[in-house]
This record gives sequence, structure tokens and C-alpha cells, in this order.
Amino acid sequence: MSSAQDLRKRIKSVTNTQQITKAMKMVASARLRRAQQKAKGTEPYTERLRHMLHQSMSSLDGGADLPLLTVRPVNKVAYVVVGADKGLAGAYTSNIIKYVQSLLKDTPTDAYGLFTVGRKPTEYFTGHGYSVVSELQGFSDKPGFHHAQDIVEQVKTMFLSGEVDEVVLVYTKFVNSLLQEVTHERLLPLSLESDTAEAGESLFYPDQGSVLEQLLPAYVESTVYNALLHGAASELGARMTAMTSATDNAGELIGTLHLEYNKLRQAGITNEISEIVGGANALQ
Amino acid sequence: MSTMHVTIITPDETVFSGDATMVVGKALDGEFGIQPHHMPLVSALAPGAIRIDHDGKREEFILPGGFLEVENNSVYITTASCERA
Repeated sequence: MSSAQDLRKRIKSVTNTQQITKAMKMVASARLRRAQQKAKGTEPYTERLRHMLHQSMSSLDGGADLPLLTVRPVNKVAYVVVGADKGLAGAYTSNIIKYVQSLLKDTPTDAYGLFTVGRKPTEYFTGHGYSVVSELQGFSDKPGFHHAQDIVEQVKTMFLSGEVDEVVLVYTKFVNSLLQEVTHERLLPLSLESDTAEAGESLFYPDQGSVLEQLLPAYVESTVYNALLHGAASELGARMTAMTSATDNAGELIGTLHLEYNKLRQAGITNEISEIVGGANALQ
Repeated sequence: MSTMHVTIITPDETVFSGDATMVVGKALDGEFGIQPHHMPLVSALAPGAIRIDHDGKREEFILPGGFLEVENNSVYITTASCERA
């Protein structure tokens, strides 16, 4: 049984922790709203690029040789793993790590290379002997379009030089603030579900080949940017959920401690009273 | 006077949306102009300015390249970033 003083100290420290988690929760929820808006705001851009891509692909006469679309036999795969820079976001990081581990199961180290985005997955994978070929960090909760351009530039170079034959993007899809799903999609070579419903009869300036040459990387960039924004929103969502339950737990703990403290205090008072009464009785 | 709807879209926001009478841009191989009811077109833009004539005034936007698409009397300009000149 701890003393009343110990309990008081404990209550004070839990209250302090609760204040911190509460502040983090509020910060995360405010930023989550902004991140969600940003993730939504980029949809028209992606939609437009996809539309143009369909226009230009559907009327492509197959003769054009576009390296970003070339499917090669796969010897080595690069995984772009989008994670968080900071912890205290519940299972956000460990979900990503588990997902990557299941993707890499039984793959020898020389058949893949990890491209980690964010400090947490970088630390984990380098520390556990995975082959990390490249890393970027410092922007997981506020990604900009130029970050996506950086990533695409690097993986594109790796892909075009033949260092890797496939690039897979692993990120957390933001469904809502309570549900985030880790998912992966193939980034390169680009696979386009060709729906020939709308026959493209567009003109092309300067010509179809050079338009596509510009369009394909732009499309890949927008895909990566979208993944970064989803990752950021998921991170903040996970943090908000984690901090909400931490605050609730702290509140519960404070309640139990208070109860225990009050019991102890009352027991002390009762004890003192009975001692005084006993003493008074003895005097009579 | 007939007009067409012009939208400039970047990954983060819609920079411009409105009805214009003429759009002048620079494709990879040179300048071109678009007037209302143009036929469908997809163009890769060179870095530089794009001019939009609307409401009786001329407005210029600076882009680092991008794409211009014409469809159903609407012009969509997609670019990584865009600044009003």
C-alpha cells in the first residue's frame, strides 16, 4: 500500500501527462482537417491527368516506345514505403512495417530495395538488416508537391537505368479518421486500365509521343503526391485516435487514484478520531 | 461574344476558373492560341507564360510547364505550380 504522498505525486504526474496527450490530440485533429482538405483538393488534378492520359493512350497506335510503360522480367523490385517521422500515432507505423514484411516474405535481400519515406520506417528497416537503398525524411505530416517530384525523380532514374524492374508504392490510404488501410500499388511500369469507351480524337501539340513523354512522369508524380497526402492524413488520424484514448485512459487512472487517495485519507482520519476518543475515554 | 470556360489546376488548388475569349500558350514547339469551340486537343506546355483574355482584360500566368486540354468548349490547364504574373 502506497502512502498518501506517493498517491498525490502519482495523480499529479498522470494529470500532467493527460494535459500533454490532450494538447497533442487537439493539434492532431486541427491538422487532420487541413490534411484531409488537401488530400481532397488534389483530386481534380489527378483526375484531369488521368483523363488526358486515357485520351492519349486510346489513340496510341502501339508503335511508340515509351520506357515508363515497358514491362520487363522482374529481377529486382523497389518498394517506396511511405511512413511517419514521429511516433505516438498508435499502430500507424507498425501496420506499415508489418505490411512490408508480408510483401517481402521469402524475398532474398538482393531481389528488392526499400525506398523509405519518414524517419520511423527508415530506422526500423535499417536497424533490422533490410536493404534500404534510399531514404527521405522530414516532411511526413506536411508533404509538398516537390517532395513527390524528388521521389519520382529518384525511382525513375533507378527504373530507367535497369537497376530495378518494378517500383511498388506502399502507403496508408485514409478512409476516415478511425480507419486507415495500408495498401500497395505498382508505380512503374505504369499500368493503365484501357477503357476504349471514349475514342480519343484529340489533336496533339507538338505530337502524341512528346505529350505522352511529359504526361507519364507527371501522372506518376501526382500518384505519389496523392499517396503522401493520404499518408499524412492517416498519420494525423492515427495520432488523434491514439491520443484520444490516451487522454481517456489517463482520466480513468486519475479517477481510480483519487478514489484510493480519498480512502486512505479517510482511513487516516477515522484512525485519528478513534485514537482521540480512546484517549479521552482512558482519562475519565 | 462567345466564350469558353478556362480552369487552371495545380495539385494544391484551382488557381483560375472563369470564362475567357482567348488563351495563348506556348507548347513545346511554339506558341499557339485557342479560341472558343476549338476541337479537342492535348498539348504539352513549355515553361513560360500563358495568357488568358477574359472580361475585357489580359491576364498572364507563369507556369513551369504542364498540359493544356481542350474538350467541350472547356480548357483545362494542369501544372505543378502556377503564379499570376
